[in-house]
Amino acid sequence: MNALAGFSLAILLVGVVIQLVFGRFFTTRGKGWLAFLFGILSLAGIIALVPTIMQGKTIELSLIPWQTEASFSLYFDGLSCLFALMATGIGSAILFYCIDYMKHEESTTRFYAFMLTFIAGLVGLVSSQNLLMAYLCWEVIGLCSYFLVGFWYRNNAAVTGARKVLVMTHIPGYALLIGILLLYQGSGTLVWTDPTLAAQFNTGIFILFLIAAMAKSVMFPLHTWIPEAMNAPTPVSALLHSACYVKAGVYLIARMYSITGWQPSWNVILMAIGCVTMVVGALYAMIQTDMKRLLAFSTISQLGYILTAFGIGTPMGILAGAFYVFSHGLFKGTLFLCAGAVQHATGTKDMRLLGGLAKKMPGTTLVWLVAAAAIIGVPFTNGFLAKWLLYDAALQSGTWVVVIVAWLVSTFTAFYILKATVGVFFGEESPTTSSNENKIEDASPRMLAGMGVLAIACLFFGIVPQALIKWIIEPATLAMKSSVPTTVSFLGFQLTNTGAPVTAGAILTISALLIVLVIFALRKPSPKGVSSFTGGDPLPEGDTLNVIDFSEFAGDAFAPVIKATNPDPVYLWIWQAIYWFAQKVKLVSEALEKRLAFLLIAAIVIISAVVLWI
Amino acid sequence: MALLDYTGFDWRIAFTAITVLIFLAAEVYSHYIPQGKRFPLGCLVISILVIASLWLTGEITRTILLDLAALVLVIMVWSQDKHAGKLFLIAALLGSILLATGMALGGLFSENAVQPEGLLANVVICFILVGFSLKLAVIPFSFWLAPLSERTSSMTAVMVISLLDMSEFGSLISLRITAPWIFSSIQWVWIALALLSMFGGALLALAQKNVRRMLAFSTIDDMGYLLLGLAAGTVGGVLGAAIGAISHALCKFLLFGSIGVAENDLDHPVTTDDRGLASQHPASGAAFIAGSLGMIGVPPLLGFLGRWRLYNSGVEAGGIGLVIAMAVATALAILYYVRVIHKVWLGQAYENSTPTQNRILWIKVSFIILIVLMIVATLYPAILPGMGGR
Repeated sequence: MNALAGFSLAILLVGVVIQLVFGRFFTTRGKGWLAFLFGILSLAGIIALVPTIMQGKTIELSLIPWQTEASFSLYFDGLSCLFALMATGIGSAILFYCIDYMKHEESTTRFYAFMLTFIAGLVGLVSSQNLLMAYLCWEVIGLCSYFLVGFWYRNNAAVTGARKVLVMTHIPGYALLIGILLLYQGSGTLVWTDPTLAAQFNTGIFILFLIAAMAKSVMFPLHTWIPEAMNAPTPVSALLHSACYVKAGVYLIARMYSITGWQPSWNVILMAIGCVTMVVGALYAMIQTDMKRLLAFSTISQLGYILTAFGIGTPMGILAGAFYVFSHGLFKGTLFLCAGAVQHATGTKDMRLLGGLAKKMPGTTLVWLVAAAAIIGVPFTNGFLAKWLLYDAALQSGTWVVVIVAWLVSTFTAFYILKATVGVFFGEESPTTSSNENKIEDASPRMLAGMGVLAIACLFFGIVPQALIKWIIEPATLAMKSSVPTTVSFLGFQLTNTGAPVTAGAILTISALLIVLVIFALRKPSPKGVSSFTGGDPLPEGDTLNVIDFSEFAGDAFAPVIKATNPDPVYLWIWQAIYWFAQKVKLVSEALEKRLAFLLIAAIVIISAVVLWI
Repeated sequence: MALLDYTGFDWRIAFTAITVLIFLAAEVYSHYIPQGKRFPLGCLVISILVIASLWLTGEITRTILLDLAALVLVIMVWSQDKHAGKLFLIAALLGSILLATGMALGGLFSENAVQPEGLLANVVICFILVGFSLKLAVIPFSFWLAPLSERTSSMTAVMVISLLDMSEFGSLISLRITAPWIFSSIQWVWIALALLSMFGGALLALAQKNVRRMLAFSTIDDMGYLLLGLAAGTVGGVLGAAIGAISHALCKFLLFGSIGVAENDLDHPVTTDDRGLASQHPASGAAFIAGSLGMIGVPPLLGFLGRWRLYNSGVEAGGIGLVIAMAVATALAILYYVRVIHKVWLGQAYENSTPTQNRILWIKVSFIILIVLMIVATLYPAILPGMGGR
């Protein structure tokens, strides 16, 4: 069994090498199939570990000595398994989708090599026993993100996005490295399972790790790279920027529960960041007119939920967080793949140019609807369960702020997802979609299968959540030194934890959706009514509110908040200040170099004086 | 040998291998893109001198051989640009004289050197400190490197930085182990110089328009990190500096080599006004990106193996304050590299040059080999001499 622990990682790396060496001998589709094959094999490798992990055991494997201070060694526990399953499972579905999606693209060898490297990097990260190896994998997935966002490197928007990804995720990563080195200085080991390392873990280290995690997991105010990353090919957005890459930071936070005795003060920090992130992400999502940017901001908001759940810190909170992590990967990955299918078919992701696609893309619409229902929290979906568990945890722990904020953001979530759903798939056809009538076709069967399998999983784990909780989530929470708070049965009914919070949690989740539906129904203009959007003039016959109306309304209503919560001007100011200072240093340097003799004599005199004076 | 005993890392074998690699790659490069009069011969002579300096015993022999290599390079640089040659000559000459004087006064040319006492010790330290600072282009003695990088051929710059400078740095590493008092008695001065080079180099690199000048200041920046490892003096610090120097040598080949390929087609120096060069030269673009990331120490490139140890030595020598300063300097380095990568290499091209793709096939191969080597060495450091288990 121990040897099997390395299989997944090894097979993915073999896949990378084969893509790079033999890629030229395959067709574009052939490369896609090859990548999918290695993805599936790696998934099988992880699934094979699950029975052992379910028994509460861990699996260790030392690969190579690497360095004296740190060997390449793997350590699988429940938490590793949860994230590795996400990486390989969702990754495989997305790779399957890619076979058709990427068939007309150039440089697919590079694409698939980086996709497989990314999955391997994430598996390596979550299974690293020593922190230096974890940091290496942390940066490897960061680089993959950078190169995949900049995949179309001749496109200015793509490379601008890639630049932002690199700068905003790599620089905070040094906080992680510094934290690791401080732990190493104190404990003399880099192995996180070693109790001597745990003894050195303090709030300062927690903050350093948190900074790195915030950047990767798009927490406010380090979240602004993700909308720019949407210029990547859609499978990249689906795998990296919704399902897996952004979960690396969540993993790091969850792993801190394993490494050390968790301090209550850390919960407050996590909840505060989580709640702000949730609100900011949702507000920005509401004003978007670009489908992928909307989903990107939605990811920010949803990750806020996850962080908040972990911040609650009770066994139920941790359970909710772990369940939410997996669920979000499924439904957000699906939504991105649907957005990709729409863009693939219509040539645009601008919702102002889309509409009425349900008739032409029924399969994609169906898949979208399932995933949309899940993210909103409609019963019988995994999203409903995730939100229910979160509310339950917040109510049980008495964190009313979390309850209110999460409930409010749930309504926002329903608003923007319905906006996208109605704007893209329903209503009248837009001139863009109708003029291209003959060209617009539904996604290919393979693409539908790739996203469909994720949508089915959303439903399956919504109806039979006990399967996910028993097999995957419980071992993960145990790895986080948490107890299993409850037993969940079909549809999420809890068998051992009855009482008001459970019922209230479900009511809160459903009420958020109902309120949105009521408001949508009320705001729908009647043919004879007067719309506030037109300044009092009646809407033209047959005209309805659309994405633009909604976005403008939200933009106007929340303008002060949106302006105040945009950190980009601050980052820009910092960059300009640094550049200005660099220019001044250059002027001084040039002036000194023109007086070379003076420079040399002065430098030698000063250094000599300092040394001799000592 | 002292380094081998101290760290388990065989600098002689490692740097010999690097010298041979760079020599071969530079010869191939100069075959397709002319690098100046008699470059192939000069390259051969320099490589032989550098390798001889590694293997022949005796401090005085090593000093003479490296000074001879410097002289050959001065001639090569002078033949390409007199101003750059003049500045390089001043630095090389003054550096050699000061260094040789310091070594002689401190008795460091003999095998059984004893630490001098009192004022003499400080005088020796002064001579050695300034001598090496001149040779390694540490701020404030870095005046010669930017003109040289800007006005000579790519491979000449590589010979100076990757072979001569890093060999001189190897001598400094050796001195760090055989005469630790040179560092330990004035540790904070070395750290101050290192920080000055790090921040000064990074800020000056950020302000440059000409990419070759930017690369020169990035060398100065990196030299700050390497010096810091020596200043810390721990096994990890010295080992980090040694690996960092080897990584630096390889990365600078990639960086200057890729710029040279683009300039060969553009027929003008590459500046931040150029756009989208990777469209015409994808392999060179990849080499530049790999070289940049390697210089910053981003895993999985070789620079990481050195850089994390240097960070660790920063924690040991100066605590969290020093390591945060190092991280800030690295952030500046990211900014200047990313600025060039995204302004100059990626994105839409402004002008169409005619790429000489077929002619540079073997240059591309050399880029790929070096990149793969840097990744493999990071993931499996046992291939580095004496690094099994390190």
